[in-house]
Amino acid sequence: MGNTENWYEERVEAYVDGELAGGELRMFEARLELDPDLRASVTSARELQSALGALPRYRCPPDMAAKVARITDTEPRRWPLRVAAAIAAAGLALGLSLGEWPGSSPEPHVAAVPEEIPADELAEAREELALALAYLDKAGAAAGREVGSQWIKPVERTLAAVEGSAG
Amino acid sequence: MIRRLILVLLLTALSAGTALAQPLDGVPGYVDFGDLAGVTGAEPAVEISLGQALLSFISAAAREEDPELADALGRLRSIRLNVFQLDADSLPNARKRAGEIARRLEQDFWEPAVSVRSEDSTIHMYMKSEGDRVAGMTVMMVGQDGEAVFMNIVGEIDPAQLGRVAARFGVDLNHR
Repeated sequence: MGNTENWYEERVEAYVDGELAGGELRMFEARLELDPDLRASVTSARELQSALGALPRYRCPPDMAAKVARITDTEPRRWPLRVAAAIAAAGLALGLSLGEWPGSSPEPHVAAVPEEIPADELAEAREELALALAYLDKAGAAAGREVGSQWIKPVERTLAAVEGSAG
Repeated sequence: MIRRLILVLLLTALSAGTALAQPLDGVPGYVDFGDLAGVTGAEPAVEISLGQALLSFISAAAREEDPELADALGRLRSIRLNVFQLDADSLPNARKRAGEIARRLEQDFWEPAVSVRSEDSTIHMYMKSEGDRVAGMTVMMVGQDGEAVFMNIVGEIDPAQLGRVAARFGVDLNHR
C-alpha cells in the first residue's frame, strides 16, 4: 500500500465519524467514487459503528474503567476514553448476558448487576419468565394427570429424599 | 487506528464471549439439550433464555410488590425453555431425544422425580442436588398434541414456591 492509499485509509474513521471537512472531505469523497477498496473500508467501518451502536445500553458503573484496568494489568493505568468505553460496552454487553463479570468478584457466581435496565426490556423479561413458569406448570399438570397427584408432590418427595441422604 | 483497536477489542471480547457463552456448562444443574432443532427438524416455537442478570433485575424490581417472587428468582442462575410444535412424523424424534437426555441425566446422578410414558405424553422431571441443596431442575414433555417442551432451570429451586409464583403471573396454558 502506497502513501496515497495510506492517507485515505487513515481518514476512513474520521470520514465515517463525520469529522472530515473542507478540502479533505472533497478529496476523500472523490477518491471514494473511484476506489472500491476504500469503499469497502468505509462499509466495514460503518458496520462496526453500527454494531457498536446496537449494543445494549446499560449504565456503566463509575468504577468500570478501574475494574478493567485491574483485570488486564496489575497497575491501574489511564485508558483513552474511547477505548475504555469500547471495552466497557463490549464487556458489559457480553458479561451481562452471561450474568457475570469475570474477575470482578472474589465469588465466582455472583452476578455483576448493572444499575439500570430499560423498562421495556424488563417487561419483556418478565413476560418470558411468566411464560416459562406457565410451561413448567403445564408440564406439572400433565404429570399430575398421569400419576394422579400434583406435580409438586413427587418433586418434593424427591427433594426430601435428596436432603435426607445429604443430612 | 482507534477504530482498529476497538475492532480488535470487540473481537477479543466476542471470542471471549464465545467461550463464556456456555458459562453454565459444567455447573451442577445445567443441561445441554444439544441441537434440538436439528433433531426435531423444526425451529422452536418458543425459545426463552433468562440468565442471572435478567433474573436479578426482575427479582430486584419485584422486591417490594412480591417478595416471594424476588426471593425465588434471587436464587436462580438461569431459566431456559425450548418449545416445539411438531408434526406426527417428528414427534418420535423428540420423544427419542428426551429419552436420551433422561438417560444421560441419570448417569449424571440426577434424581428422577416424575417419569411418565403414556399414550398421550412422555414426561420427564429431574432434580439435581449438590450437597444438601437443589442445583437444578429439568423438565421434558412431548405430548400427542405435537408440543415438545424442554426446560432447564439452574439454581436453588423451591418447587412449591415456583408453583405459587407461576400461579400469580396468571398465565395458564392448561386449557389451550
